[in-house]
This record gives sequence, structure tokens and C-alpha cells, in this order.
Amino acid sequence: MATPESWCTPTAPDDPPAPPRQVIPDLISNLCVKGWRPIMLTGLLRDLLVTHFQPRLIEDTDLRDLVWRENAGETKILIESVHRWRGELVGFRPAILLKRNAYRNLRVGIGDRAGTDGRGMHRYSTFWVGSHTVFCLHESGAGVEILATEVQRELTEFAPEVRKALGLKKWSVTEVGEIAEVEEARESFIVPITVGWAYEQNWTLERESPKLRRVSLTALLDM
Amino acid sequence: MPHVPRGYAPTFGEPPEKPAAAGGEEKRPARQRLGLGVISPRTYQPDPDAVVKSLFGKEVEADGDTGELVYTNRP
Repeated sequence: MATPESWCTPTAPDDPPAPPRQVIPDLISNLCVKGWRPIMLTGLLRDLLVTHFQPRLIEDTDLRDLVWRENAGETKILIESVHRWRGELVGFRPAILLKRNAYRNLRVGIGDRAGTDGRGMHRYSTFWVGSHTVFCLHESGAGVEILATEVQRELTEFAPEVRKALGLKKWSVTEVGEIAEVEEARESFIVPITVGWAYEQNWTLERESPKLRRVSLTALLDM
Repeated sequence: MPHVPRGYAPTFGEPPEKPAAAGGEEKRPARQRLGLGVISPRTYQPDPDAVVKSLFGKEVEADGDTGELVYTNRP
């Protein structure tokens, strides 16, 4: 069976159209394009803590020597996510480890509907609610209490600015857990700090075919 | 000089109890008796309902039809 000449064109196919961006006013460009994602929240927490544990920024005088450095041989405190393996820093104390917990969907509208845009397309919106746990570890019980208080105060005091500047619906320290021993390393003490967050995911669905303009009743009348 | 019968030197007889193992093993039960618990970063999970209530000020529950989380009317 013959095929038409235009069945297969030798030129490369066109690139798919760029996905629509989530436009959130007054936000940095990366967030505007991608929207919030959990891995970005992990990075945000790490950046906040790394920036805080620098000379002249640490609030408690007992912790003034805990200056963070990227180099394993120079840093006095480990600040890392739990899934980043750095063999040279295993067992390093004091330490702050970040772990994302499960996050859940919270419906804020019927069918996630959030109105229509200027072209008549439906807009949708929903909330994702979750938390990160900031594990503070130290060789002594008093040391871990002081370290956990420092972290809690830093995250609590800058929470309003983080929410405002980064477009998060919620961001706050919701709980500071009890002091305990670390199961995997009994010579260390640990205090878990829970940071809760919520962000909005919004999107628009565009129809590929035009809307139905009229309903034909001819078939019904012929019956 | 006191006489020590041959065969009954102090090194003989029932061996003394084993000394405590090195590494502070004996201190651990005492700390736990005082109420110090154990946490593993691998398994620790905060209560998600408590997190939501702390953030939003009210509880959520699963919708009976869709299974999705929705606000409750309870304060």
C-alpha cells in the first residue's frame, strides 16, 4: 500500500510547547518556574542553618566556636541531609541532620477548582502539607539542649520572613521533641525539631479541542 | 613471712567475676532508668495530625467519599 509523500517529513519534529509557569508575584525566578518541591525545602533548611552557624551570627556564646565550613577538615559542626553520605564525617559531633517526613494533600476547594482564567480555562489549586525533622546531635546532654534551642530560635524568629519572601503558606517550628539517646550511637544525645510547612500547587488545564459550541438535536428529532 | 600452702596460692580457686566491659556499658541502664529514651533518625516520625493542627489551628480528617483530607468543624 502506497503512503502519501508527506507521511514522514525528513525534518526534525517541533519541540513540544513549553509548560506554563506558575506565576507567583515577588518571588525569585526559580520558584516562579518550578513551584515549591520538597527537595527545595530540604535545601532551604540546610541553607538557613549553614548561614546561621558562621562567626558573629551564633546567638549562644557556648556555641560560638561551632563554625560551619564546607571542608570536612575545617568545619566544627556537620549540617547535612540524612540521605547525603559523606564517609569522612560519619560520627562527627556536633551534628544537625535534616530529614523530610511524609507529606499529605489538603483539599482547599471542591474538585481542586480555583476559578477560570481569561481564556475560560479551569484553574486548579491544592495544598501540600508536610514537615521536616531537624535532628540535633551532641556528645553531651547539655550540649544538645543548647544546640537544639539555638536551632529552634533561629527557625522560629525568621519564619515570618521566610513565609513572606518565599511564598510558603505555612512554615514554623511545630514541636521540639524530648532529649534522648541515639539508637545507632548510644554515646550521642539527640533532640528532634519538627518544622511544619505547607505550600500551594496550582495549575491550569488547557483543552486540545475547541469547546462544544452547540448541541445538535437533529438526531433526536429524527427518532 | 606467712606460710602459704603450696597449691593454694591466691591465683587459684574460683575466678573472680568479670570486670565491667569497657565503653560505659554499665552507665547506660542507669540513664534509661531515669527516663532517657532512645530515638533513631531512621524511624522517627512526628505525628502528622499534630503538625497539621499546629499549622492550621484545626484538625483535618479524611473525606468519606474521596479519602482526601478536608477540614473538620471541630475547633
